[in-house]
Amino acid sequence: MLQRHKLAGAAALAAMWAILSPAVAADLTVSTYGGIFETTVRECFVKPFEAETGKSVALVLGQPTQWVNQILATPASPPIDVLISNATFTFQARDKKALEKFSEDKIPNLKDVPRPMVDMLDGYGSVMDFGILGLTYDKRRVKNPPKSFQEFIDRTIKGEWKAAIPGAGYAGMPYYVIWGFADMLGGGIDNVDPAFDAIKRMKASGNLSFWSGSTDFVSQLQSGEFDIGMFFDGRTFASIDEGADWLGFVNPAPGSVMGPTTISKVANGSPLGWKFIDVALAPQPQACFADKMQYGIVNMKARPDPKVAARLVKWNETRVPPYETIGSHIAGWLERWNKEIGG
Amino acid sequence: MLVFFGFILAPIAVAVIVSFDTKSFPGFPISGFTLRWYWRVWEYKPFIDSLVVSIELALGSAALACLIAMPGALALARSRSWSSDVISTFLLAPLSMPMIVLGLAFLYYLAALGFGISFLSLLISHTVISIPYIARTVAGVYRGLGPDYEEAASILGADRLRTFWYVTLPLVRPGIFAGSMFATLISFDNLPLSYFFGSATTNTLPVVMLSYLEYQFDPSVAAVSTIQMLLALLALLVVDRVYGLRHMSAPT
Amino acid sequence: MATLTTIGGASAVRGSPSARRRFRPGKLPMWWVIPPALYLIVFFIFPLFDNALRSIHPAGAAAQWSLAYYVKLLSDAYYLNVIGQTLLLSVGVTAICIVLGYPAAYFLVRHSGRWAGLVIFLLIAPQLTSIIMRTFGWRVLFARLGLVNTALLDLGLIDKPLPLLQGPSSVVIGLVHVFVPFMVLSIASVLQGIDRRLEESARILGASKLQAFLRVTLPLSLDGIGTGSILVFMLTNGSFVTLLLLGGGSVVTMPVLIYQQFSLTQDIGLASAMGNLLLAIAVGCLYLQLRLIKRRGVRA
Repeated sequence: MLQRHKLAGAAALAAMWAILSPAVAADLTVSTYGGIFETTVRECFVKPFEAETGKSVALVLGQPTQWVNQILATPASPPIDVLISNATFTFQARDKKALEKFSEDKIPNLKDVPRPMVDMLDGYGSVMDFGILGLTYDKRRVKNPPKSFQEFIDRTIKGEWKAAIPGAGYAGMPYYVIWGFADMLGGGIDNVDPAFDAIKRMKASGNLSFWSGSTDFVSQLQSGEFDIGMFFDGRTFASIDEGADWLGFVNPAPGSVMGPTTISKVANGSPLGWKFIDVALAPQPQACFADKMQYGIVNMKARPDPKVAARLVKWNETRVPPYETIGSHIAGWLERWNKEIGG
Repeated sequence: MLVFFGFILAPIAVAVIVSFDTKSFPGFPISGFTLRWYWRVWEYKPFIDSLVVSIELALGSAALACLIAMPGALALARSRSWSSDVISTFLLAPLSMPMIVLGLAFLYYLAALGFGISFLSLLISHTVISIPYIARTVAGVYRGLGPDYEEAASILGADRLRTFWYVTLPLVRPGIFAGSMFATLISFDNLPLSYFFGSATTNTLPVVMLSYLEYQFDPSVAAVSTIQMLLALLALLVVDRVYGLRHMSAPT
Repeated sequence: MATLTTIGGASAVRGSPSARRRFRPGKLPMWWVIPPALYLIVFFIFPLFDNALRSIHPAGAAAQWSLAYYVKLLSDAYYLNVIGQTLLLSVGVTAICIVLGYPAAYFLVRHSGRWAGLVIFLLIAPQLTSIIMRTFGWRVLFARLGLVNTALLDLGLIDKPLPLLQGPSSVVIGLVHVFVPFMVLSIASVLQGIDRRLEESARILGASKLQAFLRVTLPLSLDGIGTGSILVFMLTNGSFVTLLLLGGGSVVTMPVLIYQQFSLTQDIGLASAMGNLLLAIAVGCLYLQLRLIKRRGVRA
């Protein structure tokens, strides 16, 4: 019995210790994705910010759902000062009045950022970097990659390869697939029939599968589950540099859909947040970010490494979904997707 | 039996093997042997920090759930009334609520109560999902045993407390063991509850892992899984040494 | 610890003859259920209630608006079909887990001996492996050009790769893999309490090995099967990550739809409504299951 007491006591002590251990007191808290994204943010943004201001930054790893709800749960004293997330969640937070509007007097470096990168978020943030969902393929099995999405659709139906596109398990699907297809096939936000039609025909051909997590796309491509698929530019380039030289990537006509990473200032958060955002959008940190992540950046004065610069997609070579108005359509699209496509 | 354990082990073995791969995007067969990914795990501070949080949380919530749920489960186990069935069902109800719904509800509720984003909030929420496991396994084992042993003790002059302490509790030990193990594992693997309470100091391993995977997929994830299994193996060995697993899982 | 068996306990008891009052042995006071019940009311029911209120409130519209969600869910053939699929999957996975898990539990209790620790470790290993890596493992094995297909092709048994990863079978495999340990350990913890001499007595009285098992051991271990079934059923009912990653959309259940609402549409009202409906259905099944086990158990 004694031993059990000891064990329970130890567990209780451990729990108490964890409860009582003081939280890290930082001057500014910023949300960020983990892994290479975090180390890049630390290196390219946090370091120059701390050097310039002498203030400390804490990074909260996680996902947009988590961050935005944490902010909304205690809006008067938000646990996050600067929100790095995506367009959907920027608008969700804006709708709940949890963000502050950008202006050039608060963020001087905004002058080098193209207006649409701020306007597409209604001024409640800016695109910080962006990926595109182009086509990643196995060069050994696809010798002659499609030059347009139309060609991708047609040749999939013909059975030239096994193809993969994001399914409803992937949060970006309605933007990249439904809107992306509708927009280029003559439809639009109010008419998505062309998109559903094309996807239904691709699926009926038996050559289409749906991916739900972006994590193991490259592994699946390698293991032969499919030969070509819609995937991100930066991740493809990173895999090529890590030795997957059999990977190819194209940004087919009429341009791939942009998936922005956004940066916003949380209302009632520390005013230091403005300075952090200014640093994150400055030329030097932006170039540093591009060099490490190989994703598109928004400061036009940034000069990344020439090798990277040659690969980088420019913002005006992409198509941007109407993020502000698209939200209200998604529930309907999703229901239709579930009923008609189910992938 | 071999087929059964082969089935259990096959995909896991793949993960373990991949954790030694020299390639940075997991693929099979592996192209060489390296410990680089284990070094990466060690180097990447959030992995280790969150692993510690996860372990504390898993053990803490299982212990707390045991304290809260076990007596109730014992009391309910032998009762045959209609109302006790309703209560038993109620104690199991958290199992069937999709945890993402539960996590969101907890975040706003606990924030309103002033617990905020803290380890305590994590502990409270994980205990809720641990209670059903303890309640059910303990009740299941206790019901399987007749009241004979306790009757014997009472005839021999033991009072209620002594009977409970020296007879009942040792008898239901396999149930407590199984239940605590389930609770620990479920807490350890949990994402949808934990991530609403994630912060620089309270992120659990699955939360950090998911966030890590957002921009890359390398064998360090496999290395983390392998380390987790080694830790569990170590823990079981210690338990075996201290208690003897056979005693832990056998009442006599 | 080993001395803390019933015998050790009884001897300790014998040393204290001053039992003041008699009590009904084996019957514990009902107020003991108050702590867990109270805890769940404060930290389970209240938060959900709070959530329900919040999902109505900000929209401005009244309660009837959220009722519309339920009407939609229960009148649309698509959603009814999804509810059916959810239950079918849960029942199917539970049944497979019983069939696979019972022999494993029997082996663990009766034959593993000093290897019990290793067996338990093997059983919990899947839970300790990140879902991403488990999925990856299955992919390596069952992909179009994976190990199994390559082996079969090389052996000339098939001439085209089998679509092993397409469709519901991969989801069922994935779920059984993670949940079968819950079944095994639940059954094992009850099997251990069964006096092996009962089975032996039956044998002595002329029953065959199979008869002894079917008539004695199996009925006595019903509680373990019950526990395991409830856990596996409920766990399957609430899981979605495996379905998303392995199913590629081929199996759609309530939790998958709920997850979509969270990640895609932010329609928390609909998500909550589906959550509550799932809860109601599962609790209903659970209650029936409990009553069934109890009645059977009493007779056995």
